[in-house]
Amino acid sequence: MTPGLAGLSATRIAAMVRAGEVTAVEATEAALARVGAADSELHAFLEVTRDTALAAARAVDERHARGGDPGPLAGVPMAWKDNLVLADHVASAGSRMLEQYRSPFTATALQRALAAGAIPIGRTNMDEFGMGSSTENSAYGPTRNPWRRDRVPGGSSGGSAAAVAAGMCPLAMGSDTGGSVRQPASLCGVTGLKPTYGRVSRHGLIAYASSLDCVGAFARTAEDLALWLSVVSGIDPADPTSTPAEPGHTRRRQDLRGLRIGVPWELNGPGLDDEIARVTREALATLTELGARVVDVALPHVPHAVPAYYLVATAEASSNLARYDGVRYGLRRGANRCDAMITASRSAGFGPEVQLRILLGTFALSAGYQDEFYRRANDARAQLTADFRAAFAQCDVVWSPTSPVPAFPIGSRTDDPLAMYLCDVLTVPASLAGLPALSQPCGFTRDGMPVGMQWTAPAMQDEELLDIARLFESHTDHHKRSPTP
Amino acid sequence: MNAFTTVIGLEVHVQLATQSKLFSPAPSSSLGEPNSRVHAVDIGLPGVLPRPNATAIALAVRASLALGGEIQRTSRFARKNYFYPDLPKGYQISQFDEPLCRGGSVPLGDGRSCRLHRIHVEEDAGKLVHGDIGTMVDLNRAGMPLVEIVGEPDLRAPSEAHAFLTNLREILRGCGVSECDMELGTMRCDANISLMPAGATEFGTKVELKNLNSPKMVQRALEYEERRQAAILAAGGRIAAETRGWNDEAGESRPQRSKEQAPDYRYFRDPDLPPLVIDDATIARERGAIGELPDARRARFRSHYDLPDYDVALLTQERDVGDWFEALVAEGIAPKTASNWVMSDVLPARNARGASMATFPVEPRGLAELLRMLDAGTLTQVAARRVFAHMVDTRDSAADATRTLGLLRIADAASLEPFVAAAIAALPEAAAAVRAGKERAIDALKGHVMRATKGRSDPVLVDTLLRQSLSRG
Amino acid sequence: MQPPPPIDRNELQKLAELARLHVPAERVATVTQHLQRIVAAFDALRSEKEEATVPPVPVAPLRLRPDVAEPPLTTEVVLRNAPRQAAGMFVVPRVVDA
Repeated sequence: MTPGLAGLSATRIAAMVRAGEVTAVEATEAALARVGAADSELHAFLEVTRDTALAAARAVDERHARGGDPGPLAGVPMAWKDNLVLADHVASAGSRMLEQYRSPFTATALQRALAAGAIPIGRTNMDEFGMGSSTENSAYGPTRNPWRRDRVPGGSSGGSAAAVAAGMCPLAMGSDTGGSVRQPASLCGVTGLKPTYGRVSRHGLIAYASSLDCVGAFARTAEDLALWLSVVSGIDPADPTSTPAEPGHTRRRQDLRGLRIGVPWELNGPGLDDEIARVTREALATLTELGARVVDVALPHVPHAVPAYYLVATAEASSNLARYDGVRYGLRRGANRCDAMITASRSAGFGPEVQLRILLGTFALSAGYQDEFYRRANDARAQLTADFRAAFAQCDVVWSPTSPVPAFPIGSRTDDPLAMYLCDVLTVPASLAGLPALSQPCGFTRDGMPVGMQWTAPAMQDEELLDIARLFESHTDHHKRSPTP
Repeated sequence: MNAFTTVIGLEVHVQLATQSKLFSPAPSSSLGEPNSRVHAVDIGLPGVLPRPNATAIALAVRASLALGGEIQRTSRFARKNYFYPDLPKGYQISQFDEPLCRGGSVPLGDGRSCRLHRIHVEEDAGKLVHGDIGTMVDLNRAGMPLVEIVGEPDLRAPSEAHAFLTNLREILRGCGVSECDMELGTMRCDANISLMPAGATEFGTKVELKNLNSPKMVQRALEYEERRQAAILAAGGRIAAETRGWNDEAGESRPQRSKEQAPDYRYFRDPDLPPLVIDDATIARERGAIGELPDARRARFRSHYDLPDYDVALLTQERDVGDWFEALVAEGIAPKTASNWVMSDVLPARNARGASMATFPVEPRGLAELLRMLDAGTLTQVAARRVFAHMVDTRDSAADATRTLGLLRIADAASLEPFVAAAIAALPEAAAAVRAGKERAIDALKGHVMRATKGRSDPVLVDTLLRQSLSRG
Repeated sequence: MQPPPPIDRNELQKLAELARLHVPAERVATVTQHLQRIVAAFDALRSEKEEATVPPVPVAPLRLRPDVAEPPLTTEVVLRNAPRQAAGMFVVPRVVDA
């Protein structure tokens, strides 16, 4: 079956619904049919919310029929990562701990998308609490890469990336703490945006690491992501770290001529898979042909990024995940004393990787070690942030591959957490610095797996990134290729 | 002489008088069914983030300024990590090494004071209720806004701890920071106490006392602990570092837990909360809201109104009462007269009605009108007090109340003559006694006339008429 | 240069207690080894002789909410996900103070 309506972009579907060429219900049914056909093999979805989706679609159509504005995302089928809460629906964060948990409220970003007419078709698979780079750490089994079923889709937002790549929906929300949108986007051949920290409210995002967590999204075009960002971003009273959009970023870049692309050798050096190196070098050549100028920049503290990231993230996670104690919600394992109940519930509810990271984070914060580890990690973070600031004095954007490796076989790295952590080496620097970053398809390996390149811009310049990505798309067709179903 | 010097330091939690909680918009009113004052933030549901309350911060700044502390222009919230079923997130949002305020002091009277180490803002935990089927968790109190006021170990006697608490309460109540009611739990106190040999400089092992529900109880518990530790030390024993719970009925404390091993709370800056920055405008506004502190007000009442200490103490106990008194004086009433009426009539009437000065039915202007009638001789003292009581009940003006009660003074001889004659006839023995020169017997006759006229007769005229009649007969 | 701090079985036991996790006996060796390797890898961060000054990262100050009380959740919603409840409260096994 061809993707059909479900294969169109979000921008196109919304335009058609708004023009009355298609109804939201039709668009939704097409997406649900595609999910029905494709997802049994891929397992991108943990739940398909058919009834909720059709009710939302009917509401959009009715509003439109009454002459009301159906919204800028009218009728756009949208999936969301299982760590974003939707009122009266399960949100499990890929964990046994929250298998039955139903939220009484909706995440702000999700709420804004729904208010703009988006159709919630289902929640997608993920590494438990966002902790992973392959979606293999889901309590509900792995998601498969639509390009090759024996490969991982990346993670932790692997379900959302796979859903968009497989044409099940044009738009899917995810979250990115250290690369959890960009890396699966790269491995699945779609475009993924991690906005500036704070641009999209975290209210209703089940926390992994508060100072790093960003709500992001996947689409097949940069234009769709720009539309999504315009709808969901902005200040939120429910998130004290949310930031208002700064005025003055409305100018649109018309071409790539004169764009100063900063290429830090630290993100393009040894350790890259040969095919990744080859494909991204070719993409860089294309960019220079289009008039962009390559500038050498230095990010000297990048070698500290992975350690700093894992110490900061796990430290925050050890505290953020302390609320899962079996008292008020979530999984409970019986015991006749309260403290034993708490330990039994947590030990049964969290998977091995989550437990490992909680232990590591507890270590990083514990008396005697906090100064040596957590504080130094934060110092490294500040130094890395300063590196970027210095680099942006010389360039408009920083460029690199997104992932050092293409999608790897399922099960090939699960025994070695450290090897898995090193997959994040290219994405964690922007996370630590709180900068907007985007991954877009830039070619394919010889055996046909997609390769992504990553753009990083100064804070609040998300729209600049989206413009650059859109212009690259207009000269290339990597983003148009889709896996054979 | 005492062989030991007692060293006491207090840690006081005060609940801030806000409408909503510290990090959630749930109401901060204390009444209600279990779990009826709870927002998603207070349950620590997945995906919630703290929403800091501007008034809570403002009141904490005000408290810090009123206690003479140094506001830290940038401070941070930190997480204190520990598991307990009354702590919904598995951590308490508090402040650690970057508190809102450092320093300050609490007066102890007689010019002495106790230094403060710091003041910080934090959220309260929920409440556990122990039942047959297990322990029950009520989150109404979870997230209530608190300041923790940490005193230096400057106190040398349990009575000083009492003075610390009563003065602290007076200051914080006075500037509207908190009700500071220890019995209702809006003020809570933990006390650390240690003994060292007299003349020593190094503090002994300290014991923490908990479950102290009034300043008096704090004093009693410390006195007990002082005796207990002195007895152990005198016998050559060693004090165990521990937390002890005070049982007021039994009049003794009991060990709760050992403090030999400090728990590892893994404090770190809360990544959900950017730095708390206090600007000049906030400081200026809160300084203005403090008003006059109790010591300054007492001194002013003493010198400016020339009132005795007893009156000053009573009138300055609550700020509203002092304000009411001053408004009465501003109406032209002599300070001592105003003070007498506030103490003997206004306050009892207010207390009987459980009202506050703000809702008290008679305003200073109304009482001033009554006192001017009294001064003009239109009313007797006795009648005036009845009129006042009527005004409190009905909100009538002084003139209307007097008319309603028919209490205008009887001050003409013609009207009073029959009452005088009736009194002499009714009490022949008293009349004879007066005639025999027993001066004081005339009081009984005066009382009879007063009763018969319901207190309206002019006492001076009654006296004259009685003497005239008795000398005639 | 000091060697990285050892994460041995005792340290793991302490961390597990702090984190309220039970590491089963058959997992202790693997988890200890994983943690040890990760900490050793991160030790570069600890040993690095950094320049004394850490550049400050500008952060917008905390925004405060006006003190307005909103209607609370109904008790039914508060307790909706409770594993066990009674009398409008969450119920847990007996709390025993250490």
